Amino acid sequence: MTTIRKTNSLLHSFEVYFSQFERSLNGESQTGWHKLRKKAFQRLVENGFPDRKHEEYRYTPITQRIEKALQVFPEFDLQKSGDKQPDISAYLPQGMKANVLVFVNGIYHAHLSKCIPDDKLHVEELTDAIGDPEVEKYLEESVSHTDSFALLNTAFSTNGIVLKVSRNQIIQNPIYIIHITDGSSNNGVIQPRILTLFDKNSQATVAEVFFSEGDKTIITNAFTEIRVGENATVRYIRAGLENNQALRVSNISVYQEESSTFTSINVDMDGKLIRNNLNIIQNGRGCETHMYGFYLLTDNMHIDNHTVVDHKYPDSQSNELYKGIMANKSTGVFNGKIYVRQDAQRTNAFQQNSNILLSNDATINTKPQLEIWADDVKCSHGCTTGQIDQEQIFYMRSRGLDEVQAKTILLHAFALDILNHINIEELRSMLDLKVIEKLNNI
Amino acid sequence: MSKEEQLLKEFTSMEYEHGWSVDIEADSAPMGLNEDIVRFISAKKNEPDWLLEWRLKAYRHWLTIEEPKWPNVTYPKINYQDIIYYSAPKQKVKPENLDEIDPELIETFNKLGINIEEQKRLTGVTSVAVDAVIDSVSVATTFKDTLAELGIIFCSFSEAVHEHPELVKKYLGSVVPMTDNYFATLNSAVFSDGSFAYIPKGVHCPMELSTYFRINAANTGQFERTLLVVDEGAYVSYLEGCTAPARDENQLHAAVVEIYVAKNAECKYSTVQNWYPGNKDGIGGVYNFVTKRGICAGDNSKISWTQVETGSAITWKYPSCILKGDNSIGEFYSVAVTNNYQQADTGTKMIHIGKNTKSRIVSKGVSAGKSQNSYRGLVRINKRAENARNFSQCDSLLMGDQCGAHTFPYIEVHNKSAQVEHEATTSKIGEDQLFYCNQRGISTEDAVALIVNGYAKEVLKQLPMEFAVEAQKLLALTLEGSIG
Repeated sequence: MTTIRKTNSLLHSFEVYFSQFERSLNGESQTGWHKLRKKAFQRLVENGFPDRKHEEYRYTPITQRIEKALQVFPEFDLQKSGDKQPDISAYLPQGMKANVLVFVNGIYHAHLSKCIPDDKLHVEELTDAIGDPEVEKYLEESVSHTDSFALLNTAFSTNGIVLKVSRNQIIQNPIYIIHITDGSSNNGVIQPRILTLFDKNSQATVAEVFFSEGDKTIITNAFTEIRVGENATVRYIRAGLENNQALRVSNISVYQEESSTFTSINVDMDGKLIRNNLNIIQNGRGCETHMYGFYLLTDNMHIDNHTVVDHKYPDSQSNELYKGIMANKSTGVFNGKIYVRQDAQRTNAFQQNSNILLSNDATINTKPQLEIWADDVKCSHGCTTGQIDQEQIFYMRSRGLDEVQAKTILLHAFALDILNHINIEELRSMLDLKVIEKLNNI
Repeated sequence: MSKEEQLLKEFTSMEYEHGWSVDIEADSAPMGLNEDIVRFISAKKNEPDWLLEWRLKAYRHWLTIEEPKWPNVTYPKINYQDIIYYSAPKQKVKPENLDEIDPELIETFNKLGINIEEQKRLTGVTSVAVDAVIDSVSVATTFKDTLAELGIIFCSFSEAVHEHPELVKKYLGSVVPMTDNYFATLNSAVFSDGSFAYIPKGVHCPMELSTYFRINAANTGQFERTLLVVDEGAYVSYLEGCTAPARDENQLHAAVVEIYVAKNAECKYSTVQNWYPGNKDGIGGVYNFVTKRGICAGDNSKISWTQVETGSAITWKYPSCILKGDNSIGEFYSVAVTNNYQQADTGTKMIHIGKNTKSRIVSKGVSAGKSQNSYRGLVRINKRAENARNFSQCDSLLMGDQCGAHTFPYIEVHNKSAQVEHEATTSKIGEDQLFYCNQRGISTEDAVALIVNGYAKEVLKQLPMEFAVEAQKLLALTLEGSIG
């Protein structure tokens, strides 16, 4: 479906922004990279920003919210202003041994990052990686992305990292990426970009965690690309722990090669408006994909999870479980798409979305979607929305717990179904504590 | 050639059973659409001014809106100037009784399996009152007198406009407003005829009311409008059947059905849709773009939609229920079968407004050949709909690796006490099931028919007797030999 929409004011702001950006590039504006940026921006101008009539954004008025938040459009050099030296240890789960990579306001800070030498992790800044034909190829592919925000990120890409895990390598310690958004002085738009390449037979766990500081509105437009090589196993955890000012759009694009396994766990409990686009393309036979998600919404929060799994080749599997709790005046959105192409015979795809509403002012909009063109498949999806089972509450109360305690225990158990898939113990308990804290305050 | 291929060949060469057309002299409007055509239709029907105004208003609004693009179907752009908007079988005067009806017309209906003569002689509660609509006008309504004794009004729409203007004025557009959507607006401007039924307070309609629609003339669009009003405590079961001749051009059918159900009343609406689906190469066939909606306006009311969709090149419809009254119930049972190049995007909308409202959706899709079959449904629980309950189940069965099955459920919940469940599965007929049948001496083809019938049973059993038999036959016919 095409998107010729009139979101001109935001687009116009970005046009001005883009020309400022071009001027700041000095001699660089004739490079191949910049041609790609221009192409991406051109496509963004053609597509426009999605409004409510856009099928993929019908429940999430993100464009209007950004327009509102950016009434005073920031100075362009905000991206460069992230030179404060935050204390990283405050953002790390206690006792965790990991390769730590730090982004402040969308910019990678090598001197704050620390890798474990034994893991032999290869991290390169995007500016240095340009010239690597593989990196350039993927950059070029990202220009044909269909989401406007992914295009926006490509159009403004300057900084970012390329993370490589070479063939047969097993990264023992997790790769822990921290995004710190510093909104203490300016409003702004930040656009972190990460390209991860996992070669054949490699194994790794990656976590991306988002934090924010300060009360100015910062819009985060993140783009993470994950290339999972043949027979590789990747586990990817993404958690949002921002303050209630945060507006974030994330595009996570995953490409799986033959016989690879990819697991994603997405947890969001904070922020004002969060939109996650998780797109997974299975590019070979025998792929396995798992997607888990948990969202806990309070106050006026709005969290939208869109996931796509595209089964293109035979003998693959996907399994999806997203669970959410909506309290107060919050709005949750879930849209899960499963495509099974004609060649993808003998695919098993399963999808489940469960929601609990705790208030009459809360809303859940869910759309679990199946599109199937192959006949020898087993696909199913289920979706439930309800409240806590009164009988379960009664059982607990008859054993001496009060109603609040009983509810908290049940909701916590509901969340654990997802949190238990996080294999970084320290991160899991940090998130777990956060869930309990939030549930106690509802 | 293996047996399967043979069966497949036999099946694909099978012709559409209702593909004949009859030469009935017709009175048509000139081709195309403009304000004059709208006035022409209105004048042809001797309509009062308010209705003409209503039509013109709809037409003017229609000019300002665009054809929707969101359905999961593809078709060449429709040229709305290439359609005849009004075509009536030529009859000098309105027939007093059935003997005066054009014998060709009677023959048409005999071919359709609706024997009007026979109907006249039959009495008793098991029979069906029929309103037959051919092209743009209603040609015959049976059992009118019997129904009138109970105070039930069942007649063609144009008749209702003249004889019961107060009812028509009150309810027309009350459920499907003229600005509702592109095709409903078009229908509001140019609708030609249709059926009207009013069941008065406390009356349990003793027989099934039924309308048969047929597009006969070439290049004609059919735009009928059905309005059912079920007053307090009344009950009616309504059937609708459709066929069209086989033609190489695509024909447009844009109907509107409105149902108003008052307190404690119940309406059951069943459709067996068998419009011409086009030939095996996807040439021709009817575009069935229909708006159907009912409102449970009063407390404890109920609307139940049952549909068996086997025809049309493109089906695009969502029979909906607005559950406004407290404790009201909405049901939707559907079997949609697509074969060859057919496309179907069908489902329902359940809008829960009242307290303790319940809805149930059972949708069974079967796709074969190169067809695409989509379920699209909306369940919305509004903020004040305490204790609303919904259960949806949509299953798809795929036959062959060239077809597609799609599910697009939209679930919007704004009340915490709601309990909404949705489940969907997609699969093919199990090898083990076929093997089990073969092992017991049932041929593969019979086994497929058996399994599909079993699969659709939950829906078929909702149909009234007369229809269930027809629907079962249709299913078997549509799918015969389509699996290897």
